[in-house]
Amino acid sequence: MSRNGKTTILLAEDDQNDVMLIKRAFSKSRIVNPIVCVENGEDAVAYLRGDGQYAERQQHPLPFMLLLDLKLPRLSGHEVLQWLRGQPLLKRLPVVVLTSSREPVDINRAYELGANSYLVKPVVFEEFAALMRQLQVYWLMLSEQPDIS
Amino acid sequence: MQSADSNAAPAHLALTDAQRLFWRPLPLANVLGQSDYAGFTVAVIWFAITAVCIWWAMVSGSFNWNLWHVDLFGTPVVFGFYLPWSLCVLLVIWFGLEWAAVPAYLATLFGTLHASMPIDLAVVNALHNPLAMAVYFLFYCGLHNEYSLRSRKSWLIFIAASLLASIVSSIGAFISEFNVAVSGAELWSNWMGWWPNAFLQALFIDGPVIYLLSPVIERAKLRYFKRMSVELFSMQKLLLAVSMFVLCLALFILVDDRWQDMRAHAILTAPLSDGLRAQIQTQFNVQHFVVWVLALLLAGTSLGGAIIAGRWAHRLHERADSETREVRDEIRRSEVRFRNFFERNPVPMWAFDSETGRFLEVNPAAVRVYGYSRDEFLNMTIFDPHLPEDIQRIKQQFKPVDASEPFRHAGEWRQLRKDGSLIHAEVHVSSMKMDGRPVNLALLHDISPRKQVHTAMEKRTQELRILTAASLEMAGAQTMEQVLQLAADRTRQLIRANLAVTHNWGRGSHEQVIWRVSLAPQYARWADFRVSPDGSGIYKLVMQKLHPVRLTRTELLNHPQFHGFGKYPEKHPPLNGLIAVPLTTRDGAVTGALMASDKIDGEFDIQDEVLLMQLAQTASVSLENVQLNDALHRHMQELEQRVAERTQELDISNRELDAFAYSVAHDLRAPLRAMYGFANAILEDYSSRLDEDGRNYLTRIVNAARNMDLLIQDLLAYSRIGRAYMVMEGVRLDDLTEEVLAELAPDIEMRRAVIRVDVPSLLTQAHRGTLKQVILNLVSNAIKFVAPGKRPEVSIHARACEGWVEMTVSDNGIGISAEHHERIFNVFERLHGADAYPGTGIGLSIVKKGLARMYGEIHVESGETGSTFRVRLKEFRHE
Repeated sequence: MSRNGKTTILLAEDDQNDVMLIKRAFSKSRIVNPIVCVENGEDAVAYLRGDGQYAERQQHPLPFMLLLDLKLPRLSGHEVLQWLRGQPLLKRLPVVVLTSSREPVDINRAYELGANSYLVKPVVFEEFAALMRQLQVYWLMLSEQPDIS
Repeated sequence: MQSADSNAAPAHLALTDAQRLFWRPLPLANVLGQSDYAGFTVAVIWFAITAVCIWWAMVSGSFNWNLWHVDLFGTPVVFGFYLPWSLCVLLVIWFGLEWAAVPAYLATLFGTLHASMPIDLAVVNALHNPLAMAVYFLFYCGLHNEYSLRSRKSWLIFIAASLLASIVSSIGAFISEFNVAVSGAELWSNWMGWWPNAFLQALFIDGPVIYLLSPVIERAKLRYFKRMSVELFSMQKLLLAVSMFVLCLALFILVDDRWQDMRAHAILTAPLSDGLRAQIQTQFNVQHFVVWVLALLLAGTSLGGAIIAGRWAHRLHERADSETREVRDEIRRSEVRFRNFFERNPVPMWAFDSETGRFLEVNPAAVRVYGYSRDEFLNMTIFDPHLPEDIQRIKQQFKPVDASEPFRHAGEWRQLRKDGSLIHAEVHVSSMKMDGRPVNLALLHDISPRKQVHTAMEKRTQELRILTAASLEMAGAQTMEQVLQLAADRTRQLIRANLAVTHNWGRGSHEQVIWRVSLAPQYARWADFRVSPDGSGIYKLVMQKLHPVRLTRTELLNHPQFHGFGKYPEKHPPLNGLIAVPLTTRDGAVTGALMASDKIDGEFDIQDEVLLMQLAQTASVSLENVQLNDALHRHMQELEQRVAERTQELDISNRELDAFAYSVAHDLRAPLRAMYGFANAILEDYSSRLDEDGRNYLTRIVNAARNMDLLIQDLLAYSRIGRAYMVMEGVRLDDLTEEVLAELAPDIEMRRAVIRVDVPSLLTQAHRGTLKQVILNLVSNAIKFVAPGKRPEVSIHARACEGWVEMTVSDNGIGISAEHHERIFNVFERLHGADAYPGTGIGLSIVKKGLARMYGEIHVESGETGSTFRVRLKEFRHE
């Protein structure tokens, strides 16, 4: 499926409801890529750096894409994004912001910090599922992937 | 006066040369009576000439060197030079008959007596030369012509006069004959030698002398002697001349008779017949008789003529005398008038020599005004009562001029009185000649009062200038110290004091007093002197009084309260007098003082006081203004600080609001999404296990969640529109409308709405996103609020109108009753149930707020059916 073998999607999302809905939307849309969830910004950074419990890359492989909520405990989505874009190789990782906020401040800040896409979570599930489907098609099937390790 | 001839004399002479050289005798009596140096000299010279003449006549007979024997027309004659003749000719022409007649007579008389002539004959004989002089006199007196031989006429007269005079003179030849008893031929020879000798001597000796010396002689006469009228003189001497001439004729006749008598005696002594002798005797007797009758007739005629002429002369003399008297009186009156004009004139007058500047005369007014006595003046020059720096200018101004000129303005001069005080005089000066010297007459108007007024005005102007400058400077002062320093400096300048101090103790104690000093440059060494006033001594006096205080030096030293400076006797500048005026507030409290001491000239006066009060007024106002300004400044700073605080608070609350909106957007939608998602999951995954009711409830949950999401999104949009930063730009209405319709296309198609668009390509000034939202809301409302079953018809129009763009969206909908026209724009305001017309009730609120942010407005017109929303926005203009 993926040309360099990376198929994992890293989902940084603290709301377990949303996690379940995303997973359901994935399954509804028949997306088989493994989804790894972290509940806060620090964990997201730790996972990407391979720190602590995420040191084992076999078990916690690098993702090909990061789905990033903005309102995260400990480190906000913006902060995670800022850190990420400061890393030598990881900065190439495609990041899709997936959040509830439609505030221009959030949107503009996210793009300033290097987000590749900014999506607002629809309340209506059908729309949510359709969004996830399009995301998978665009980033996994249409887009070429950079080297990040 | 006769006009000048063509050979006009130089202008500096009062008379022309031609006028001088008219025969103008100088009466001998006048000269001898003229008791001066010139008269004496001339008299001595005349006596000397007379003596020389006598001497020459007596010794000339022994001179052989000047005798020439000449044969004249066959007659042998002797020519010789006779000096008295030439000298007397000169005298009669230059001075007059009497000058010549006396030496001529005396010379001949003594000469003939010396030659042994009997005295009776000698007395008669001596008359011949005075008679010749009378001829000259008659010629020049009668013809009144120029005698200097400068013209042909002058020469002719001289030759004629000399010829006739020579012949008259030659009568002497006949008389001397009686003495020497010569023959007839000898007598003829003697007479023939006599008159040409005299004539030629006059022509060739006197002629050149007259030609050469006459101008000199006339100039001397003009200079040293009074002139006498020729006419009057002529009449006086005419009698004498005529008498002498007639006497001469009578003598000739008598001489001839005597001579005939002698011949008769000679004939009668010859042997003759008695008849012939008697006849001859008779002949001689008759001739004697005729001669005596002739002589008597002549004598009688001459006596009668002389009497008539004498009377004429007398009358003429009287007339001339009266005329002279009149002229003299007129001159005297004129002199008196001038004297009066000069002496009684209230305007000072000076007469002074233009060349030396020496005073010649001054009038009493000058003595009064300048303080010098007349004698003191006459020992001074006009340079003395002037300032040294003006003297050069005066010399240029009063250059001596030859011509007389009337009074002219000669400027204004500063002059000194005897007491040294200054006087400003406006001078008028006239030039004239007096006795050949250039003289100036000056009129001096004292314009000192005018100058004083002028000076006072200048002083006043200067004071006003200082006051104005002070007022402007103080108005610009920032601190009370600045005001006080300015006030001190200006005080010193305004009233010309060497020391000025300004205080402000406000309403408080003396510890808070502020003060400034201004010192003249020469007091700079006291610049560091600082004694803070403690409110005692003379300050107390000033502080207590609302009025100005003014003390002379003595008054100050003797004042009981003046002791403050006594503690520092060597440390303060000299305190010569004191002037102090209070500084007062508008409510009359004394808050300070302007003080000055040591006036440059004199003591402080009431004028200084008034000036200082004006300055104090200005200073007081400025001090109050500075204080008010400070208060205002403090107040403004407080206000600014408060505004800053409020702004900060507002910022904080705004940020909280943002955070709140963010929370709403994020946190509130998350549970909704969960509700919807999981309800949906149940409906999808567990539908078969639920009955109809269960599915219905779940569907309602799903719908409710969806509505709530819409509500939240609209609320956020509304909030965003209120807060967002909007960039206004030119937005094309037709493009935007098209965009909106494309977005609404699914709706339009679903409801089968008819949309009419009449939007020209207009540019409005708007925020593109907001305006799109506005149009979108309006059009979607127009489609939505239509009675069930009715096909929506929507018209969109736009037009430009006087700088505005108006857009209308009209529908055929259910309409809005008039009482709701305001309310529909409120948030959450809904007129219908959500079932009939779903919506959040925020759409029109967003429209209104969005337009308001873009400086636009919206109106609604509606009735039973159909509504028209009219939107106005500014037309976009390229700046």
